[in-house]
Amino acid sequence: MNQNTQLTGEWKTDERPVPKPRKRKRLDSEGRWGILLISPYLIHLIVFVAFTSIASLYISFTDYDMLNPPEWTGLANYSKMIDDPLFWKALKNTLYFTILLVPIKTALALVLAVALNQKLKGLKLYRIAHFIPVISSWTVIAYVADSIFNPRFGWANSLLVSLGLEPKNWLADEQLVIPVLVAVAIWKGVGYMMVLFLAGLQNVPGDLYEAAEIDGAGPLQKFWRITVPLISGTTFLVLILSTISSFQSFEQIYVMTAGAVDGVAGGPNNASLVLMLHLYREGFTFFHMGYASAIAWVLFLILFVFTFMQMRLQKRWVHYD
Amino acid sequence: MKRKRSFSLFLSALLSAALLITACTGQQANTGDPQNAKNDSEQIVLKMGYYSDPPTQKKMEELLAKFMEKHPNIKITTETGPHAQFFQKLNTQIAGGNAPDLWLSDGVKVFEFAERGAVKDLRELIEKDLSKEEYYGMDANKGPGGEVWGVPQGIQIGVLYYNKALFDKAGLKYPDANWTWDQVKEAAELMTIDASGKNAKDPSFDPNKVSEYGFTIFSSPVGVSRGWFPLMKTFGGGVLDSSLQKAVLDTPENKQAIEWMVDGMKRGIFPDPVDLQSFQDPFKPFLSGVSGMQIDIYAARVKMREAGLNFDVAPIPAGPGGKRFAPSIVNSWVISKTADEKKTQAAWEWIKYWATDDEAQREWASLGEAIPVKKKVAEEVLTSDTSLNAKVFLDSMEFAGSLDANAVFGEWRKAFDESMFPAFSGEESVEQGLKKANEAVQKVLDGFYKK
Amino acid sequence: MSIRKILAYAAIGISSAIMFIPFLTALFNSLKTVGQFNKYPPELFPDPIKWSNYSEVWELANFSTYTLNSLTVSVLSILGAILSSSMVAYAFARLQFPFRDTLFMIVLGTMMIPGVVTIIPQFIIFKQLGMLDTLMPLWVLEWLGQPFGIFLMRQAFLGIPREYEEAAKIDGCNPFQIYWRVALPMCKPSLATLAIFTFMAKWNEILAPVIYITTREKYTLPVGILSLKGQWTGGNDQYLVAGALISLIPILIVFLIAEKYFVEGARSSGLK
Repeated sequence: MNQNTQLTGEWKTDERPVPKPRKRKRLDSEGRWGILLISPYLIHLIVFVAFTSIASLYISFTDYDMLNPPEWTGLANYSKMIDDPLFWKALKNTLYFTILLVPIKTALALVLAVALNQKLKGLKLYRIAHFIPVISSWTVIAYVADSIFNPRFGWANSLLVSLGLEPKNWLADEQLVIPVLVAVAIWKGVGYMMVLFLAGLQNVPGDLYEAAEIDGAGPLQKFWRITVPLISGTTFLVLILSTISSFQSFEQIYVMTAGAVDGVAGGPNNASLVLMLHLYREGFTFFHMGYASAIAWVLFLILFVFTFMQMRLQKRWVHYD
Repeated sequence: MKRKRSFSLFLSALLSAALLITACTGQQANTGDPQNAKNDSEQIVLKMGYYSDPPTQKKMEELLAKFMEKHPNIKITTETGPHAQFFQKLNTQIAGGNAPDLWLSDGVKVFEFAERGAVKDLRELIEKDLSKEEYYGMDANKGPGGEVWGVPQGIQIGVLYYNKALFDKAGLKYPDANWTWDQVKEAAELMTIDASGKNAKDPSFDPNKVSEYGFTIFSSPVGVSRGWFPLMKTFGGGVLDSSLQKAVLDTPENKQAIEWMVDGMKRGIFPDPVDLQSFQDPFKPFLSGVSGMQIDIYAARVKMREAGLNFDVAPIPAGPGGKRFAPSIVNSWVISKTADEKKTQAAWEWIKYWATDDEAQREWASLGEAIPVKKKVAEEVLTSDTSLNAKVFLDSMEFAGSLDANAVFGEWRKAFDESMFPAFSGEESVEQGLKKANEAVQKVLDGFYKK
Repeated sequence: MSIRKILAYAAIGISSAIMFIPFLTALFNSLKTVGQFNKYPPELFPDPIKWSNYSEVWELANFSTYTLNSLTVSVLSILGAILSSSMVAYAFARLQFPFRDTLFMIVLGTMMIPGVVTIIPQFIIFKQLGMLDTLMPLWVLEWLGQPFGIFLMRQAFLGIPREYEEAAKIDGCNPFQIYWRVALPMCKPSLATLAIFTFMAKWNEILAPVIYITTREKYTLPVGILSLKGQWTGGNDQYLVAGALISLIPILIVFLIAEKYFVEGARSSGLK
């Protein structure tokens, strides 16, 4: 039923909707197998996910300090959020961080993956080099970042000064703190997405490229006409995953904005306060677990809407066999 | 057909394995639970929570072993974790109905648990068994209604640390007990040196290129023990009144204190928040020997020694009106509300052992982290330390005070930090900053106490 | 060598250097003495080189025990993730069953709820299951299909040509057999990716072990490193960096093993 037209690069999706009338009848064999194969996840869903998410959703409608039983307060936490300037600031910062981070990191990761999918001498070494920041802990990354962005001794300012420009305060500058955090996040995270793309590239059949070469396509054309469409399933995955992870950035900002030392991260002047930081602090430091849960569910809602839209849109640009 | 059967076999095996795993461990944990150990019906089993690093954990286990030898009817099992995450773990345990029977609380967190009803009032037990005059910090955990929520486990007190090498280099006399803040600033001016070697008194001194600072005083949240808070106190100000439910920030005393700080930062003789950024760690200016003085607590000696600094201590200077203050953090033992009578008694035995037993006190003091709780032992331990003027710590006890820690300590501290940031960075007047801070802190207090 | 090839080498070389060279800063820091670590202005090269930081941190943090615990958790997690996530993912990718798309949205949705607010309910479940202070809460969920793994493998299965599976179906294979014998072997690169990422996530995880483990002997490596820092003292930074660098080695090994699966397409794609 799937017309395979590999050489022209036209692919049909496998997003077959479940035929409505079938639902009423007894499950057919395929349906039974489907249920069987997902059964581990069904256990997961029933035993863990259902309880934890309902509990935290319930808590978001209560006043809960963790030490005493939750007290129902209706929508109080949600209306508190509307009046909480820090929530809005955190939301704005989170969006800014995400919008800056996700597209650049994704594009860079794809280019790197294609570059490191060639036959090169020392390929292994190059790949390891790109993977090392991924596996390093944020503590280590923070040291390294400091050697670059330290206002006095960092390489970044040495470079600016040698170019005759004004040195900057980087992480201590309200305007620059998020761009610097994004730069470091790209540096640490690009290898992760690169690995996902590398895995995706292994599925691209080589004969496509050969055929394209016979047609006289150059490397750029091959990249746009073959690699990009064929890897779009992975791109979709990478986009969703990086959006979620960047929305939930916590450790990086906690470590890099002096949270470990002061107990108050997100500086200077809350310029790098993100939602996760805000909700963590409200929940575990200030004992407002009800409010923290409400923030968490709003965060969930934003991500869910985004992902749902992506799921809809993917049918236009994601090609599956 | 055959294949289908093998697959359903596989699946049912998988499912039963999953169920078995859960069932098994459930049983395991039950038999492993010491409460069900029937062999010694008299034995009381206590669960104790404490944060630790490898040396403190080793010492704690040693002391527990000694205690249990003396009290064979009590068995203490321990739950430990790194300090950074311990209280998150503790909150989760309490919320999950799995609270330890007693735990070690960070000094500033005692009220957070107490005023939310998670720990017991120990007043009667203390009155019965401990004579208050023999111990330090016995008032630290006292609530407004006279309740006492915990018994001190170790004492921290703030003093003025100074770098002898930098004082010698500038040809200055070392600070002593009679110093005032003006003398601190005066000395700081002479010790602050810019890139071309000029000190801050020199008219051509460049405050943007300082290579050695006179005095590190923190405007960030760590300043609650090592910066703005003790300064405000000696100037006659403070954050909360004695009820700990009302903000009293908007006062001329506080204004004077903070302006004194901001002036120093502006002139480059105290590092400002941006300067501290270039040190990675706010404690590094003093640790690396490029800051002449810094307020810090007893435990800070350890790292300074490791860093090879040549330093000594003096009491925190008196304010303009001669008022003295030394910030004090009293880590304490607290007993969970959920502990029954028997367990409470057993937990109390441990606390009593900790506070009264000279050997236990000495052993813990040997870690060098905290001043022993028992005055007699503290004197003995501190006077035997000849590497610095350790008597300063004991003398400072006379004017020791808490950090205005209450149920919302973490939150009001954050509110203060947020409101005062523009004032500390010179974008707003100190007066405005304090006014805003007062409102913000009061809002936090009302959020909890007026509910 | 063509100019294009030289350019490619140059670009990749520079990019690798940007990735790798700053890392040397961390290595240098880990070899400094306390005194030099605190020096201001900071110095780049360690002098003297204090190799014993590594042996000291190893002793201090009880690394051998913690490494064993971390390995147990990580290896069991990898096995679980590879087996369960791929199986669940195959059903999502290829089989029709009721509420499939809704369920898949739930899979994605569970990734979007911040873990900090579900810690308490999850703690209660593991308490009911009697798994507190065991390593089980750290890996058992991996055996029940993790959202990340399901998503990753679903995308991989969707990306492989259908013909092979159709052929196997005609030969009378049931869906599980098709998944196990035909589809899974074709997705080795993605399985390798899943293995690396699962290992990495579990190896570095801090929050769950802190919450569920209360006995020091059962700590995992990152918790051991974290616990070097006391409330006021301990945890010299050079130890923390040295500890962090030691703990990289196992992940690198796993990466090297898994990386082998990323070369199949090397012949055919790319710039040439």
